This record gives sequence, structure tokens and C-alpha cells, in this order.
Amino acid sequence: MIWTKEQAKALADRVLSFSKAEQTFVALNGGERANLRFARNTATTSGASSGMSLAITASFGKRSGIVTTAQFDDQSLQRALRSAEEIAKVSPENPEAMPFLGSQTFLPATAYFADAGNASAEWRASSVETAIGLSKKKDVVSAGFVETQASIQAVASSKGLFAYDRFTAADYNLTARTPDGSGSGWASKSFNELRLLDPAKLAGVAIEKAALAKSPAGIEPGKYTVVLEPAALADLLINMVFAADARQADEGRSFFSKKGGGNRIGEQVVSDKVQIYSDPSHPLAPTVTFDNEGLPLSKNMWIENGVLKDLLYSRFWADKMSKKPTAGPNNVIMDGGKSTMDELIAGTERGVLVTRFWYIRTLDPQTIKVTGLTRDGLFLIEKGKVTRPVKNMRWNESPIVALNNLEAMTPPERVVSGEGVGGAGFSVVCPGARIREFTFSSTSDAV
Amino acid sequence: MIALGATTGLRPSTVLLASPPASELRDLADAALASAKKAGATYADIRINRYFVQFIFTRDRRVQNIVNTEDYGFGVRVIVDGTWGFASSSVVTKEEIARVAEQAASIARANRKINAEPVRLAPVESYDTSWNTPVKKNPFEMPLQPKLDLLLQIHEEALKVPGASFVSAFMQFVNEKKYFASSDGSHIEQSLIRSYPSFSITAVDKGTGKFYSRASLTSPMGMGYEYIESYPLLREAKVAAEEAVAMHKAKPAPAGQKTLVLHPTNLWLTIHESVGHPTELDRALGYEANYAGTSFLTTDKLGKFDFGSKIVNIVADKTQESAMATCGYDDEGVKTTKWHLVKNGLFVDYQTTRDQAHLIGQSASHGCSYADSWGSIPFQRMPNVSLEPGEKDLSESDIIAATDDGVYVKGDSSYSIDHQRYNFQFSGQTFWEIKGGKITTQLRDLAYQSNTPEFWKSCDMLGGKSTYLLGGAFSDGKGQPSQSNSVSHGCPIARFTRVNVLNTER
Repeated sequence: MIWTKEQAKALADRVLSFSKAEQTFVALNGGERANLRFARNTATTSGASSGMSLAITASFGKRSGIVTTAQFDDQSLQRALRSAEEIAKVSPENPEAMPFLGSQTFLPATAYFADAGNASAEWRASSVETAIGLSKKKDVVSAGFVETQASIQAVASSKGLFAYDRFTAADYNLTARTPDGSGSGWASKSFNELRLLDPAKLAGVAIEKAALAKSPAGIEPGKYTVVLEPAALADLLINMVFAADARQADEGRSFFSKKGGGNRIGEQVVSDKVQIYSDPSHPLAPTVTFDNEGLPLSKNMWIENGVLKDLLYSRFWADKMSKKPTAGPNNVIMDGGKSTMDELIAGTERGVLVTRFWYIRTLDPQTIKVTGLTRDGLFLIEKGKVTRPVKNMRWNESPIVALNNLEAMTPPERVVSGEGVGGAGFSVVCPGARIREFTFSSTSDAV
Repeated sequence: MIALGATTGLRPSTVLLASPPASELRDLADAALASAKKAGATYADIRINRYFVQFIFTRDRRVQNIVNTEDYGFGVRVIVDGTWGFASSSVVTKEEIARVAEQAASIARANRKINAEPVRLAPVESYDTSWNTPVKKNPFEMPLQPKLDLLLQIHEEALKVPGASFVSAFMQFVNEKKYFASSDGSHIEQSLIRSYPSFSITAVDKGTGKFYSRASLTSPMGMGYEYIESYPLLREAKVAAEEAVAMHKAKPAPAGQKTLVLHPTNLWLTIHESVGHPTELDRALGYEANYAGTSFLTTDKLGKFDFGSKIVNIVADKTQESAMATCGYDDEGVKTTKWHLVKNGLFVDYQTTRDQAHLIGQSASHGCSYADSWGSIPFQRMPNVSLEPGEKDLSESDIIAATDDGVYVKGDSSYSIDHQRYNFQFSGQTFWEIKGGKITTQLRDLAYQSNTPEFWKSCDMLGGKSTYLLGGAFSDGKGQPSQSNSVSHGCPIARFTRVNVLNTER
């Protein structure tokens, strides 16, 4: 069983009562997670883990030390506290240190669902049995992963802060490959609620895609219109949001820096079709309601009608710049449009349909140009129809450029990106999209 | 794959480590093995592990964070009816160990009906022994003050350079204290220590609105504080600041096919991605198809495939001095060793574990099992994989002098490779033009892109052992849930012909 609010409060109170520091902050994280992997159409490894971790920050004025421990007897807590206090005493003052938060008000918690918290080893095995059965029937070889978890997060301070929240997650993803290795398909979903997860449907998607993707032929790299499935667009979205630190921007070392000083809040940075925000109460992606400093999460707009509305402000930088600090965020939501995927394809004269991206890394932070590859299903679109599978390609492109070249979108859905962002702990909601002039630089032989 | 983000954490340097004595660990381990046997396990092992990390982060002349983390727990792995089960907990008591051993067995039973390949373990000798990283100065026994002083001096050296705008510098120390016992009769205690200093300097030009950063060329090492003391951090801080500033006026990188000379601080990561990962047997067999990917080095190519030119010799080695993946025994009790993956250009072997060696007809594991936590399941992870130096002890200047028209890349930066390890693209920290056998000028905004076998077949010149260095990372990522492996890659300076070079600004 995961820790209750009362258990977390009792431990936090015990730590605070033992502390000799001027100020003390406590963060408690952990829970229970269990998983099952499969590959070659058979179960491989499977495990369960139960663990809690406690981080203690002791501070004297602007000096502080942080110690974590996983042992909660009085002696271990005293030892951890004395160690944090000793570090704080020998540390130089940090002029940027912020006082710990006192009591806060939080939105109602909505991220925990008992069905995911109570998922059994038998349920996980049966969900995998479903995928293996379908794979054998369709003559493909599948590999995949199912994980269920329930976790808690609690913070407390000597200034009266206490917050406790819990969340659940159920993740399921698989890759189906044709026996000759010439076709591969993939599907992945994550939900807070187990009942929303449909292993048979996901297996069906991956298996069908593997068959369609079989024996691809190469096309010339260059600029193509792309129809991105939501999992592919999610990676572009995430790479842009993660680069949106306010301090980096104000210091002149970010795409969001304004030439000559300051940042680009208020400027049009992408297409006016784009709305991006975070919201811990979003029904498709509920999250815990406070961050690791105890700051309450609330709905926050990042981009509205293509205009940059906010950046990620730490408490120190917000204080210095007289702005509101950014809590978290623990999810990112991009609103979509009304097209279906079929309509996005139908509106493409010549382009490619992308299932997912892979191994994305920043190439040029000045423009947020990133590099990556396509994977597990890339298809040529000609005259509004998917005509044939094509070989994977490397691309070098900035999400800023891509979101300026946005033509149309599907309604948004909960997604896990090709790089795995959007699984347990950080949720992503975004649409599929058609984007013109996306830059592919070379072909890959990988299937 | 190298994951983004760094592992952080630490343990107090001023408090004595509070690990139970070996006799207590042995009792706990024996209790686990007995409980597993009672629950029907035909094989069981337990790892009771404690992890200490110290992380000190400084930014713009101030100490931002000093963090000591300590993590402790155990994991029990069992085979019941030929099926794996695993469970773990951070509560290290005999009662919890008995509960968790039973839980591991029940997980195995739940999965038995969907397991078509009963587990077969390669035999292993039993050992009752210990092994420790041979460090000269244990970083966890060092006071904080010299660490803070050195980090802050890096800021001073860098910010003396006109045009240097921002500095961050950190040190990270890791100590894995591991107790392993198995139903094959082993009891093995190990203490592994790793150390890593690094910094990054940014030069912002407010006039043009452009910025360039230059990170240190250090790598994490399987060494103690002696590594920090032996590395010329202050001298490099000044050079790095000068190079970051100079980048603003550097010549834009050319585009097209070039002769490429790679320094070990760059080439280590290319080896990791293009040699280390495709020679993992679990990838070649499809076990990682859903996440890290498979491998173009399929098992039919073993002993037959020309991986590189004849001068390319690549070894896997978990015994290499100062390297990150070095240990005495792997996480299933196999004594570590060294073997060839590529010999005279030919692909000759894989990285293996006890449960997969038989799948390619081998009778023993190469000892590549590792789990990144007491709560993680051990599986096949990369040993140190290194390119051997050339027979002649050629120097950097010998290789530059022999190059008429090329580029020289130092340090690692942007990196990406496909899921079968063919198509890759790497950037670096600094780039230099070579013309007529001389380094002529600094370049900016460069990356190189190639295909693994084509790249290694184009290797035509190797530096000698005097140019050999180790690079590495804490964050070699693989598996679901994803685990981080610490690994090093040694190599000399090496030259490659007709490699596609890009200008990343265009």
C-alpha cells in the first residue's frame, strides 16, 4: 500500500521536530510500481518495486545543504539531519536562496484512480497474453512493456507548509515487427485510469502498421509536407517547452531571448493556430497539484494564438524580475483542430505520414533546431492518399519553424511521445498535425 | 543511447558510512535465498545495495547546491518453472525479504503461461569474495572545502577572459556498495567509486543576439578524487572561455565530404553509439525492439561481417583500469573479463549475460549483467568498449600533418543514431579546419553524419597509445523502465575519409 497522508505528515513532523536548522524543508516521494516486459512473442522480465525516499534541506540564512535517505528510523533521520546541517554550515551563502514556502492552498487532487493502483500481476500478464496472441495470429513478432504504478508526493516546511498528493499511471506500449525484419509498427498509451487502457486496440494498431510498413523503399531526403501522428508532434512540442526557461532567455542564451536584452513574451513566435498550456486538472491528464517546492500548480498559458504568453520562472528569477513563479509544470497540453487524420492526409499533395520520432537531440540552441529520426512506420502520401512505405529518414528541424508551418490539426488526445515523454509522471495532450516544408537530411536503413 | 539529464545526489562526507557489517548482509541474503527456494524457485539471487552520491553545483561565482543522497534497498530475482520474477523493497529486514521473495515467485508464476522460452543460465563459478575500485583518494572521505574552492576558481579563470558571460561547474561522486548472493553459492561484496568534474562556459554577444557554449572535455571516470586533482581544470577553463568567445568570429563550417580527424573526447561517444550498442546481444535478438531498438549486427553476421577497415580492433573490457563499467563481478556473479568485439575489422563477438549466451551457442557469459538500482532488474548492459590504438605510436601532429583537407573535432555535443545503429549524426565542442597538413582556423556550427559500417570502413589512420584517452558517461540508457549504466570508451585520435560534414546553422 502506498503511504497515506497521515503517514507522510507523521514522518514530516518527526523530521521537523528533530531539526536544529533555522529552516527545514522535507520532500517525500515514492510508491509502488510493477511491470512486465515481453519480446520475441514471449514474456521476458517482470518485477515489482516498493520504495520511499526522503530529501531534507537544512538551512541557516542563505546557506543550505540537502541530504536524502531511504531509512526512516529516528537514528537514520537524526544522522541525515545532522549531515544536512553540517553541509549548510560549511557552504558559502547563496545570494539566490529563497525562503521555504509556508502554508498554501491547492486545487482538489484528481490524479489517483484505484483501478490502476490495484492492478495485479495477473492483469499485466493477461494484457500481454492478448498482444502475444494477436501477434502470433497475424504472423508478427512483438516486444512491449506494461507498467502500473501508484505514487505519492509530499512536502513540508518549518514555516507551516504541508502538501500531500498521490497519482496513478498505467502504461502500455509495444512494437510489432514482421518476421523478415522489413516492417515495424508501434503504439503507446499512458493513462491515470486503468480502464482507459486498451491493450488489444494498441496491439491491433502496432500489428497493422507493421504489415503496412513492410519492405519500404528510399525516397530523396529534402523538404516534405509531413502529417504527424500525435506521438510525433508531441516530441516537437516538448522540445520547445523545455527550452522555455525565463532566466536563460533574459540572459541572452535562448531562442526566447530578445535581441539587445530581455525576452520575447508578447511576441508572435509560432502560427496563430497554436495554443499551449499546462493544467493539473485537465481531465485527460490530471497531475499532482504542487511542485517539488510546494508551489501550487494551476492552469498556465504558454502560447496563445501563437503569441508567447509566459516562460518558466524559478522562484528566484520571478522574484528578481517581479514576475509570478512557475509551478512545475507536470503536463503540457496543445489544443487541436477539427480535422481527422484521414483529412490531413487527403489534403496533402505530396508528403510523408510519420508514426513517431526517435533519438531527438538539440543541434542548435539558438534556434532550437533539433535532430532526430523517424521510426516504426513512415509512409509516402501522394495526391491525398498513402501510397507506400518509405525508408526512415533523419531530420534536422526547429519546432519553432514546424509550428509556424502548421496547416491543420486533429482534436487533441493523451499521448506518449516517441521518446517516451507523456508516460507516468509527466502527461502530454496534443493533436496530430499537417506541417509543410519539414527538413529531412538523409536516409536510414533502419527498420 | 545516452539519456538526457544527469544523475544527481550525494552522501555526507562528514558522516561515517552506516552500512551493516558483511556478516549481517550474509544473514539477510541467506534468508532471501531460503525464502525463494521455499517459494518454488530453482534459482535465486539477491542484491542488497546502498548508493551514495555527492553532487555539488556552482553557477556564476556561487554555490547553488550541495546534495548528498543515500539510497538503500534490496532486489530478489528468481526463476520459477523456467520464468523470471523479480521484486524489491527499500525496507531491509528479514520479514520484508521473505515477503518480497514470495512476491518475486508469485510474479514468475503469473507470467509462466506466457513464457515460451524457459530460462537457461550459463554455468558460473561460485565466489566468496570482495572487490573495490582501487582509488587513491576516496571522494566521500574528502572535506567539502577544497571541492568548493576548486569549482569557484574555475569561474574566476573563465570570467577573466573578455567576452565570457556565464559559467557553471559541478562535481559528482558516486559510490555503489553492492552485496550479491545467489543460489549458485556466491557471496560477493563490491564497492565501486566514480568521479566527475565538469563545467560549461557561455559567451553571449548582445549585439548580434548570438551565444556559444563550450563544455569541459572531462569525462566521468572509475577513479577517486585523484582524477580531479590530476586534471588541469583551471587551465582548461581559460582555454574553453577563449574558444567560446572565439566561436563568434570563427569561420562557418563547410558542408560536404571531408576527411575527419576525431579526438578521443569526441570519438568515445561515436564508439558508444555505433559499436557499443549494436554489439549488445539482447538488441540483436529483439529483446529491446520496443525501446532502445534492435541491431544491424544480426546473429547471422557473427564472424562474417566486415565491420570496419583492417586497422579497426575493438575490445569489450570490464577490467580496464579507471573505466566506469569496471568491476570485479557483474550483477549475476560472473567474474569480469576482456574480449574482442571487432578484430582486424571483422565483427567477432557480442556482449552477453548468463540467460542469453546459449542463444548464440556460447557456454559462458561475458559478464555484462547490471542493474542501476536495488529496485531494478539486472539485464545486459554495456561493458567498457574501446578502440585499440594503432601499432605505430603516431601523434596528433603526425595525423594532422598527413591530412591535406579536413576538419578536426574535439569534445562531444549533439548526438543521435537510429534504432538499428546505422545512421548517426554527431557534433562536438570545438571544430578546426585542417589545410595542407596544418590546423588553420577555428570553425563553428559543425556536425558529421554517416552510416556505421561505411564510417568504420573509412578509418584509415589511428593515433598511437600516447594519444589514447577514456571518455564516458553515467547515462547509458536502455530497458523498460529505463535504466542508466556507467560506461567508458577508450580510443586514440583517429582519422576517417570522405565523411559527410554539415553546417548546422543552415
